[in-house]
Amino acid sequence: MPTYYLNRSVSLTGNVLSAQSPSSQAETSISIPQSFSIFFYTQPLAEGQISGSTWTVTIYAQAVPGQTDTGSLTAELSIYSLDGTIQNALIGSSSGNAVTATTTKIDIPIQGVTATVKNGDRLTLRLYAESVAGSTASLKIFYDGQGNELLGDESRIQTTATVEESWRQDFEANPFSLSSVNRYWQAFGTGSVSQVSIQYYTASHSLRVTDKSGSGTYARYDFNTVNNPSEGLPSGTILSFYWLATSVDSMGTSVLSLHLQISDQGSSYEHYWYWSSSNTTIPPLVYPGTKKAAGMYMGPISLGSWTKHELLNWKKQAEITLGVSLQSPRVVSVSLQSTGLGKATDVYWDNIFVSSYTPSAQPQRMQEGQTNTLSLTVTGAIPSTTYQFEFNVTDPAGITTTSMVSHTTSSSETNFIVSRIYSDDFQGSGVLVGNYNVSIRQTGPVYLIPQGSGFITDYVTTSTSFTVHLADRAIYQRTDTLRFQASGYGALERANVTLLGPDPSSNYLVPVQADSTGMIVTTWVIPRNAALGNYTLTVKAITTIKIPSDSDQFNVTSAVLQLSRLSTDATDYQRTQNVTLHATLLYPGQSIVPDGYLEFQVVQPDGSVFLTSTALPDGSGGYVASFKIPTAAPIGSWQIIVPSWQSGDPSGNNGPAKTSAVRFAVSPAVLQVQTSVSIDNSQNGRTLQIQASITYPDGSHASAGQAMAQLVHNGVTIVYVPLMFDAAKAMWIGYYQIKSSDPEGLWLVVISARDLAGPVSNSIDNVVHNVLVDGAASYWNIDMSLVMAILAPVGALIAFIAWRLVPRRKRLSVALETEKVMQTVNKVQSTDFFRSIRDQLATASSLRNEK
Amino acid sequence: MGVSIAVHSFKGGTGKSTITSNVAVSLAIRGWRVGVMDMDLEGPGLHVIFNIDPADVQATLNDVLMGSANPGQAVIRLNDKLGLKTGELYFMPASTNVTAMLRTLRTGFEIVSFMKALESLQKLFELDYLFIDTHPGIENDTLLATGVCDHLLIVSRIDQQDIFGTNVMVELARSLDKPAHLVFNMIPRGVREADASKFAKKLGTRLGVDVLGLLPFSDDVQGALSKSVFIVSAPNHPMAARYHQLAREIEEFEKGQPKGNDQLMSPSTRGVSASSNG
Repeated sequence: MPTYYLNRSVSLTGNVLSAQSPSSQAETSISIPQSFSIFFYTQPLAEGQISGSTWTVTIYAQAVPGQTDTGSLTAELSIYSLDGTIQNALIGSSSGNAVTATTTKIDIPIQGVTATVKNGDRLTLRLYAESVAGSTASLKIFYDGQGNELLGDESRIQTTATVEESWRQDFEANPFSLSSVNRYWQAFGTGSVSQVSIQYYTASHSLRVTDKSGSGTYARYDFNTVNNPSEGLPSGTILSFYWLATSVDSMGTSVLSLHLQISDQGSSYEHYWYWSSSNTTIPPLVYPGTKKAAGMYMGPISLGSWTKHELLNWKKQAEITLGVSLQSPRVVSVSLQSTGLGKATDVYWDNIFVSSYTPSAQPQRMQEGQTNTLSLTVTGAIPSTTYQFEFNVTDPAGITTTSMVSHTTSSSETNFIVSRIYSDDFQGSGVLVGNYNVSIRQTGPVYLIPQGSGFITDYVTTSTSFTVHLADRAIYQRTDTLRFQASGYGALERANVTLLGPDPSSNYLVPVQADSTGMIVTTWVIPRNAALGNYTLTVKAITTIKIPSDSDQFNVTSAVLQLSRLSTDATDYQRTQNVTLHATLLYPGQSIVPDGYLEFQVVQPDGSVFLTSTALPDGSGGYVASFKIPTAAPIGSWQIIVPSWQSGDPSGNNGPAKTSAVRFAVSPAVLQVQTSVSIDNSQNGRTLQIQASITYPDGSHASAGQAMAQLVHNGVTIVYVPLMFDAAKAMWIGYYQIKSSDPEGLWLVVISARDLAGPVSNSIDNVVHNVLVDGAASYWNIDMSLVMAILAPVGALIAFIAWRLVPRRKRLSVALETEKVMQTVNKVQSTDFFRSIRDQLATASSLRNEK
Repeated sequence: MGVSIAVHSFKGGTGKSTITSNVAVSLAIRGWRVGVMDMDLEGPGLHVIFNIDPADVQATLNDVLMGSANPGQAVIRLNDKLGLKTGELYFMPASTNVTAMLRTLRTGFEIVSFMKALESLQKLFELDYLFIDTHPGIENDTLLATGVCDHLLIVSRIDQQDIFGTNVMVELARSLDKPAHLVFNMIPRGVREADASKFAKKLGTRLGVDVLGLLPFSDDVQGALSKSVFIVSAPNHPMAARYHQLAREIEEFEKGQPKGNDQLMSPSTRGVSASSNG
């Protein structure tokens, strides 16, 4: 498709509209015969105002064919409205611009008037060849600006006109384009112009049946031919096409002809219609000639109406709906041809209404005796039209039964559904096993749709299918329940149901009896250890014989075990505690898997697998497993994962199908510290012994780490006493000898302990004990140690004298074991006896107060 | 109505019964009408100190509660036995079988009934003070006595275990809304009185109880072997003065706290009307 440019784009700088040459456009030219014009027009413009100003149309042109030829050119700028009427017929024009045989740049100044642009108006440029020497001469206009001319000599339009801001913005957003690629600033004309087609933005039709090349050829489409067999054009056939023709053009008029030719039983019929572009807005039917063959019946033919094209007034769109009512024609052909000198587009066939059809059969699989709903969903339907459909169902025996249905659309209805019930609405019955083919055919109206170079009659035949079985499913898992149903037998008729499976030892035959409606129904719970593979169900009655016989196949697969429960006995654990996993496995039939196994992984917070193990049945329908969290286990979110397909039962059934997980949190162990504080008065009366039993939550002793006793008086730390682990006693023990300088009063003993776990997981516990220490410092204890150390030889004598002379005074010290006291108090208070006393006292007190 | 005081110690041998008997006699000597109920009949308690022949016990409080005896049958007047010329002193054996009484309580016995029985005894004998000598340790009878009495008097030595038990008993009394008082007995030799007093005061503060007094260890009291009321047999002994001082402290219990319609108690304002079974 050739593309022609005057200028590819026009950019706006300030108020100056100027054209820019395309950078890679091939040289393009058009020749304008004498007294002929070519036109360019813009895309629809936004509303705005153009001030009166000077426009400059720069044309790069020459007079052809000889160097002696000269001519003159008229340039005209106008504004055309949306509906084709001229709003401002002329912005301005300039005539008598000389064109010589030498390609020359011609600047044509046009003094424009103030112009108001309405929304959707277009700016047009008309170039008119006023005169050229010689009868065959013409003016040749060069479009692109990248040919032989110098840069800047290209054809263009520019002005300094003031434009309103809105218009300017519109220009910037949608720059002028003279390219047919952009479908605006289209140039068209006749004569020697190599233009044979014009691209309009409406050119989206599905089929072009002819063009306006003027060659005299026309497109012919035959129906019901050898290559295109059909039944002709049934009543209600709709043909529609578009034809864009210029009604008034200096080149003349265009004519559209439609030729309908029908052959039937040796006779033929032809009908011609001709429409001509003219000065009127509706192309007149200029030759409604007819010819009718003898002996052939033909109903009325109605022609659709013309509609006006959105574009300029010299273009019309013909949208004709042709209704043809024929009776069994043998051959039908339709021809279209656009001729004449006028400007017209190609003619396009199109179906106005593009309907879609979606058939369905519900259910897709059913059992004998059940019904099936056959539906057809139609969208894009024609309003106010009666649709007729033919539902055909062919059963496994090859017998086709039919049911008709119609639906008339309302004036606004374009979507509808029609449905039929099989077998209630049909003569057939669904008592045979096998495939049922459903064909739905639209018998009215019938469309013509283009195909290749011709048309075919579109009966909108669409199809679907469903199947009828004895079993309710095609595939079962072990433990599933198979529901068997057969129908079409005699009332209370006896029959045998045979089940043949992969394991011959499990084949069996079951005598059954139909009910009063001739239906046989039974169920089979598939054992969990049933042989895997294909099974065949067969029903054989005493008297009823079906063709094809009642025989159906189904497949048994292993059961996919389902994990219905996965939990832990708690959500938060401390190190050293036991985690107990609980899980439940179910068969597809929802019975519990009593004797299987369940594989699981314990995953640490970093994703590494801590443990892979198996949970076993707990005897009560569940699966249980326990594991201990190590002393130095990483803290954070752990999870127990049950991988897919890693669990199973003794019969080879596996599962679950999906990996499941449960999370639990691991936190540092809170060490339990039980402490006793005693004061040894027998030695020197002032040794504080601190013993601490430090255990993990699981009861095991923490034997490594750090333990410290902090002695505090009035909030001031007296000393930190490190405790050492005594393996023999399984206790942490520390001593402190009370000094004469130590404060009297109540001491607090705070025990802190931590194990050797990582820095994040230190475990600390504090236990506070109260120790009451009297203030009478026994000076001899202190002095004795000093004297013994310094003056050993005389120390004993001094000590003896001191001991004899100084009245012995004992230091009173007791430990207030607050925690132990409260434990005992709580224990007593929790007894029924104590509560009874307290409650009765409270009641008595209340009564006494009331009195 | 008079004041009822449960006397308790966590461990045996703390001098609980000795203190109870001496304080009771001291109060009687000071003109008060005093009753002493022995709920520690299994131990060598008040009946030994008061030199009561079991044959003299015609009935117990349990018999009264069960309706098999009247209150007068369960009371023994001791004035004559002890040569008391002022006040009144009655001995009331609660039961020779506390376990049986507690079983009654457990099976529906209402503590209020027990309290009313005590009150009827107090009214009948116009008792200004009623002491209930309880069994050592923290047993149900201890809790029962604590529950029915107005005050709890704890006798303790300065001993790790005793202090522990005292601490527990103080907390239990607090939860029953009963004021507890503490007497430290048998302060070891070699401990200065001032040091002991300071220590006791701190300990009392720490436990949140009122420390009534300190009684030093006395070989003489120990030597009496609990066979008599010390202040009667040795009225001039320094320890007798300590018991009298303790009695005076107990007199302070209800000062400023009128009970019922009674006015502030004073032995001089109360009539003495002996009612005894002999």
